[in-house]
Amino acid sequence: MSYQKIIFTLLCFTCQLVFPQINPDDVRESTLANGLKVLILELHEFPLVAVNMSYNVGSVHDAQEGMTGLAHFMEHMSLRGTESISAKELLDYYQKHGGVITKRTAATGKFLTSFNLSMPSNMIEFMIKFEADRMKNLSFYGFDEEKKVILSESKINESNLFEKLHSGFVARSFADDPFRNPVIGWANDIEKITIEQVRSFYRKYYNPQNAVLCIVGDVEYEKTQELIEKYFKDIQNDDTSDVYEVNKICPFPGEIKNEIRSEGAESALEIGFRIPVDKDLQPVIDVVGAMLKNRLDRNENVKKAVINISDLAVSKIFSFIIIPQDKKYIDTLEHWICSEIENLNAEGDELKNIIAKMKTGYYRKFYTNEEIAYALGKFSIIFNDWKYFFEYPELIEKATPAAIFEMSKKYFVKDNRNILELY
Amino acid sequence: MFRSGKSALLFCAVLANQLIAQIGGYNSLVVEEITFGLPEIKTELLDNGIKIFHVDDNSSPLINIYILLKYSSTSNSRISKAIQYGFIKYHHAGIDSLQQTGAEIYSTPIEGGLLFTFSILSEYSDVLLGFIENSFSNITIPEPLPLTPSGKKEPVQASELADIEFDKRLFDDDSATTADIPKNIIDTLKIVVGIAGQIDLNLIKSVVGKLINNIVFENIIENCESYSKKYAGTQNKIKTISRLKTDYLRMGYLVPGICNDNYFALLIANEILDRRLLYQLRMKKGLLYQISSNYLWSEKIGKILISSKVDPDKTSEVTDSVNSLLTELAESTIDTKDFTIAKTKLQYDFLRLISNVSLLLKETMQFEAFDLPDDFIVEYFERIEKTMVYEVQKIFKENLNTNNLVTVILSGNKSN
Repeated sequence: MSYQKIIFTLLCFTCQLVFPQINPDDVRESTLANGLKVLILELHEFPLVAVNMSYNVGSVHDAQEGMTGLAHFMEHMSLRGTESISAKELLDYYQKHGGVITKRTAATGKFLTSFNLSMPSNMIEFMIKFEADRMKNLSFYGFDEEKKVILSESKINESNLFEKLHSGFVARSFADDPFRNPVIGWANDIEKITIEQVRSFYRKYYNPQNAVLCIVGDVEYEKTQELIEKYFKDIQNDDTSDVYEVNKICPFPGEIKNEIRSEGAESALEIGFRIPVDKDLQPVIDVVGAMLKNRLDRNENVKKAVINISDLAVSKIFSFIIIPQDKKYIDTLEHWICSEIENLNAEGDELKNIIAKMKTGYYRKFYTNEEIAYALGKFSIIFNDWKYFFEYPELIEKATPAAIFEMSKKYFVKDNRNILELY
Repeated sequence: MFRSGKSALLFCAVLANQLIAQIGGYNSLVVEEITFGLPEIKTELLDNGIKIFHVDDNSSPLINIYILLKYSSTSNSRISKAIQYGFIKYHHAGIDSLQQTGAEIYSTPIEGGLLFTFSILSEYSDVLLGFIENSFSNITIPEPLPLTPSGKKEPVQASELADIEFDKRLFDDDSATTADIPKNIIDTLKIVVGIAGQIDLNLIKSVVGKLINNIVFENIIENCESYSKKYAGTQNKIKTISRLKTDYLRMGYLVPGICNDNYFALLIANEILDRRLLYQLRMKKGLLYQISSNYLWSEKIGKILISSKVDPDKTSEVTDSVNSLLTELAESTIDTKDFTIAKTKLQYDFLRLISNVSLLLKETMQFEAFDLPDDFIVEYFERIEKTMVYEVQKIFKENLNTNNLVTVILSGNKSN
């Protein structure tokens, strides 16, 4: 065997569970003078590219009670065109030149607002130019129509039992943290939002120093960097954003328990614990979530179980909703699941299988440039560490029984527990 | 030996800049020409008649194996459901061992068949091969089964229920048990296998080569026109869930499938409809949060399905607006700009499809199962280009006119 072959074999062995085609060294990072962080990953197999612009702003920045929903409203207005291109022109132009609309096109979360353009690589200049345009020249035309659209969305959310239950649950879990508000905002607040408030929010948070631009696909680094400089270098930071302390951990207030009378025949139980946003803790929590979901699915008294930690949804609360086969099982299930959590043992084949399944699911997510760009932007904003995208599969392996035990003894305690019964 | 697929080296398309519209402040943009080709798909026909498709893929440490079972050309979803549940039930032990490796397993009904997808970390590929050998060489479903594998009554989401109710009217179909599976299922089976990832192909061949593959087609549906007349042109209001605060709207048509000459015209018509719905109902009027039109095709039949969740106060305005739009599209000349955008969008969608090996394989396997010509995928891009505006106009006039429209509203509101 030649020397090269030996090296190759060793590399294959040590890297076998990391993405074989890309690694962190392929991602080129830079920061413009105005503070815009840029990540470029060249992938040349097909002439496609994804441009993701992630802003460090989410519903936690709505801040003031009575003014919830601003971050989400702002995301909607960002699709309403700029001073240079109307909403209709934008839609026509984007689709005519191969742009695709997906769930990643625009999204708001608790901590993040993310935009994604996904087009053939010959449209890279348009994509960069439009993101610069979107950052500073939104037209705010169609404000009233968009408010109607958002109110429709809010009504749809309210009609979903899980959504409704969960937003009430989170609100009860955090007394004085804006994390308590739903991303879309409370319907009463949305009604009252004015165009001036949205404009002001835009000026405050849509700034280069508050954003990360991620480009993944068939582009050349130097040329792309030049285009970014060309369109973004003159954009100034209008305002310095306030800082929401993501990692602030509220003292445990003691167990919270609420019961709600159901309007219909349905019954449900939500149980959760406040947790910090912590990149080392996240994989351990994800493993525990998958494990408990697995156990709930096997319980014959459970009709359906939903874990609210999924799809790498970074959160300040770990919770799950249980729909019983019958109302009469609510108390039994509550005692059973509390006991499972208090005596959380994660060993042997169960843990091994869960970790293998999570890895398979993780790799399946990242078949497109768009998903990779979104993940890089998201981790860069929330954890200030885009390399987390590459490290996550290995970090899951570190969710050992000891790590799980330690985490559960710290956070899954009665004083930190919230229980909500719908019956 | 594996050989290059016939299509692999022939396909090449160019997307040039002649379509670039100069608008607003975006006039000075330079757009370079791009070219792309179809990834190489290796094919092999085994002695037992099973065709294997293989695409090299090292983008992740996963092996993806697809197995398509086609047992007839019927659209009968009852049999699909029954096989799905039967498969899970009778191979439960095998699936347990497979799931211990973290494998993800899905089964998706296609017309007259099922497509199984297995994703597994490459280190466990031998476990997957063992499972395939044991499970797919012995498909027997001897007794009626409940409609869910675990025996639990699954909660049905309102959106799912709306889809079921719509399909019942469109296909005049009912749910069933595995008693509906023909006893001679083994005799009517056609298997197509697709593999993406790094795996020993000889091992795959030795496993797949043992499977039974007898092909007998039962052409149950020759003419989709005979379907759904009973409900066409009527609006079916279903009050099923009293607590619902949102109305679930399904409007659509039964149309020909992929094996029809009008397939590409249908694709384009659907794109035009989808864009117009989004623009007129959401962007212009602010009537709703989401609405879409999808062309869901099978071999001989398909459906064009408009889906939306609507504020109950606005349901009537939404259905009126959709009806007006459909009437307008049927009666007026298609806007050239809309037509061009729809065509180019579909061509770019094709580029995205071939850039994803999993999607490409699944699509290729279905083309094979439906006996489409070998060069169907090679000519796909060009066929979109060659479709004429009058062909699409004809679709709107003949297939998508409001006389054929089936409407289903799932609502909690009595007045709707």
